[in-house]
Order: sequence, then C-alpha cells, then structure tokens
Amino acid sequence: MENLLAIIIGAIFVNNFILSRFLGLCPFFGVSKKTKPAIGMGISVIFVMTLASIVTWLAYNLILVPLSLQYLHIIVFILIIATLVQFVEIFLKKVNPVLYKSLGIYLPLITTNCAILGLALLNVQESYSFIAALVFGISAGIGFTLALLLMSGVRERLELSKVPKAFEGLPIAFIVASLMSMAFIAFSGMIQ
Amino acid sequence: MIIESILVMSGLGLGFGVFLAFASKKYAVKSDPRITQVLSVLPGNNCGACGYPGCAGYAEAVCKDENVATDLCSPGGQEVADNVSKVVCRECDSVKEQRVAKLHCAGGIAEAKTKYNYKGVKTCKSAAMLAKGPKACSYGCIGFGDCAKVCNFNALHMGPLGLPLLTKENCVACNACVKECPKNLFSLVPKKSKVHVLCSSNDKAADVIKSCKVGCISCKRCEMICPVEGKAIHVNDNLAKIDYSKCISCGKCVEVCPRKIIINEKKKN
Repeated sequence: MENLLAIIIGAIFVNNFILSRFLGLCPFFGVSKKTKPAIGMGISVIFVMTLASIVTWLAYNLILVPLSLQYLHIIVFILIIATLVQFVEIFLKKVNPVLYKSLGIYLPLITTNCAILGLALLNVQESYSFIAALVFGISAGIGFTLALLLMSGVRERLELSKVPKAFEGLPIAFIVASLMSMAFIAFSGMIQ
Repeated sequence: MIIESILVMSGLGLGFGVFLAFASKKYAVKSDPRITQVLSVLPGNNCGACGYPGCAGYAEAVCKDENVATDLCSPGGQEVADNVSKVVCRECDSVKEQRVAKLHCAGGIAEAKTKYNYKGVKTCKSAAMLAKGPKACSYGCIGFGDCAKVCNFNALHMGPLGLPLLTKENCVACNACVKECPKNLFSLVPKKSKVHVLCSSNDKAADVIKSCKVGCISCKRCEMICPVEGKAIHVNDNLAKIDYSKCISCGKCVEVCPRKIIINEKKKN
C-alpha cells in the first residue's frame, strides 16, 4: 500500500511527466492556451495512459518475456499504443458521440505522444507489478493534466498582462514552463 | 531468434490489424452520405454567414432538417444553392439577392471632430467603451479597423482617411463586420443598389453640425424629392434611411442632399 502511495505521489508531483521528465511537451505548449481544451486533453491522456499501461504490461510480461524478446519492446509498444488509440476513437464515436466530439482532435494527437510511450517504458524499467503499473498509469495521467491545467491558467492570465514585445506568445510560455518546472523540482525531497 | 521476433511482430501486426478492421465494422457509425456531398459543393470558407458553425455544420443541418433552406450560403450564391438542392433532392429555393457590406458613415479624420485624444489599446471595441469613442459624434466610425481585422476575405482595409474601404468583388456578405463593429455601422445592402446614405447619427441637426461636417441633419429634402410611390427614403429619428426594396437608384436624392452624405456609386464609377 505504501508502495502504491509512493507511486501516486511520485508520478503526480515528484516525477511529473511534463515538468520533471519533460515528456509530452508538444501538447503542453500546443493545448495550454485555454483552460477548457486543456481539461479535455488531460482527460483523454488519463484515459489513454491507463489503458496503455495495462495493455503494454500484459504484452510485455505475457508475450515478450516468455519468448525472451525484450529488446523488441519499443516497437511493440508503439504498435500497441497506435492500435489502442485508434480503437478507442472508433469505439467512442459509436458509443459516446458527445464525448468523442469534445475530445475531438486530441485523441489522435495522443497516438504520437511520447509521454505514453515513456510511461510504458518506465513500467518496464521499474519492473512494476500489474497493479502498480495500473496505478502508475492513472497517476501519471493526473500529473500530466495538473501541469497542463496550471499552465493554461497562467497563460490565460498572461494574455491580459503586459509582456515585453520580444517575449509575446511562445517565448514567455517557455519561461513560465521553466519556472514551473523549477517549482516542481522542490517536490523531489518528498520521496527517496 | 530472428524467426521468433519476425513471427511475433507479424503476428501482433496481423492481430491488431484484424482487430481494428473488425472493430471499425462492428462500431461503424452510419452517417448520411449526402452530408459529404453537400460539403463538397459548398465553398468551404467556414465563414458562418448561413448561421451554422462552418460549412460542415450547415451541410449536416440541411440534410437532417427539411425546413432548412438550401440557399443560405451567401458566398456561394445561386450556383451553390442549385447544387445543394440537387444533392438533397429538393425544390430549389430562389436565392436571395447578392448583398455586400456597406459602411454607413462618411466621417473620416478630416470630416468628424474628435472629443479627446485616445491613447489606449488600438481597437474600436475598447475605444468605444471610453465615453462612446474619441469622435465627437457618438455614432461615427472610430477607425481602428476592427472590421478589417475580422474580414476573412480580404475585402475590407483601412483607408488613409480613417475609414474602412470595401473591395466589393471580394465581399461575400458573411456578416462578420456587421457583427464586429461596436457602432453597428455596417449593414448588408443589395449589390446592385447604387445609392446609399452614409450616416448613422440619430443626433439632432444642431448637434450633428457641431460634431461632423458630413452628418445627416434630417432636412427631409431627399424624402420630398424621391419619385417612388410611397417614398424609398425616409427620415426617422433624425436620420435618412433608404428602403432598398423600393429604391430604384435614380440618384435624385443624391443631388439635393445639402450635406453630401447620400452617394451614388453609379456616377462615381
């Protein structure tokens, strides 16, 4: 139990996927202009990360390990994630068109998101158990959403404030991101 | 080793491929094939003139609901309306007259006096919030070009005199500038109409004369000389207004207007 708690806190704060591991920076800057799409993206990422974590764990431990083909894990994970996202898209379109419309473009965008692949690879690296991998997937998604939401809030305020001309737009966003990242480093003492 | 890895990879690929093919069949969403057809005949400007969110929104609406007219696309005009009607198998509605946007103000920098020196954010919207704008006439064009910024068709540009200039050929009557202008100076007028009143001020004559060289002073000379039965130009609320459904563009009111705010585009060109 304590171990799981450490994984949750670790994935959300200490080793936040965006602000400490620097994974998935493309949506972090692309979709953080407004709060609403940021939430949509965050929820889709939580969803896909959890699913991907489960399926890649199963594929790795039930197929690759018994055949001692571990060196194939990257290409297999990519294949699995792409298939998964494609399937989720087809499934959602039929079952819940409203959710499908609100997720919109973000769902296919996640396919090529390195944060998902990073998650699958970290699961292998840390040799998590199935439950641990599941919890890690959910909390990594939550950490991603948290960072995205914080960033979008800051950027919404930035729109209204006076920014020197040279820093307008992306440059100031980069500066904000680095400041936030430094702030998140402060969590690193929490878990050994 | 090599054989195994090849087998695993191709097995996984095949498995996932079959799985996805199966899933896409099983969870296929039936959509009206006419929607894509309508979408292909629409111009694809996504301007929103029809009142729906983009061309796709209109295509969906026109296929789903029989009461949605097939002629709502004003950039496309008659040709697109015919094509849309053909796709959805309906009697073709007659297309509304082609229209263009028109600015009803002639008070540029030279003509209209200013009330104060505005030094804020350079948009009409924010300027209009400060004591109804920097112009002495509270109805006049502010001249920061919000309309030109919102125009997606390269039809509006700010002219040298502080008023936006319209390129008629590019205007598709998408209504964007009409909605954007904080002073509501734009309206859509029939493209073939040549005579327009270039003032929107409801101020009394004395106030108009004080604030602007070219404002309507509601002398009613235009109304009196109008040869159309029932008059095509009326002065209400201290402002002359043309009834475009009656106006025959004869240009008589243009000649008598003492303030030269009724213009005849036929003559100019």
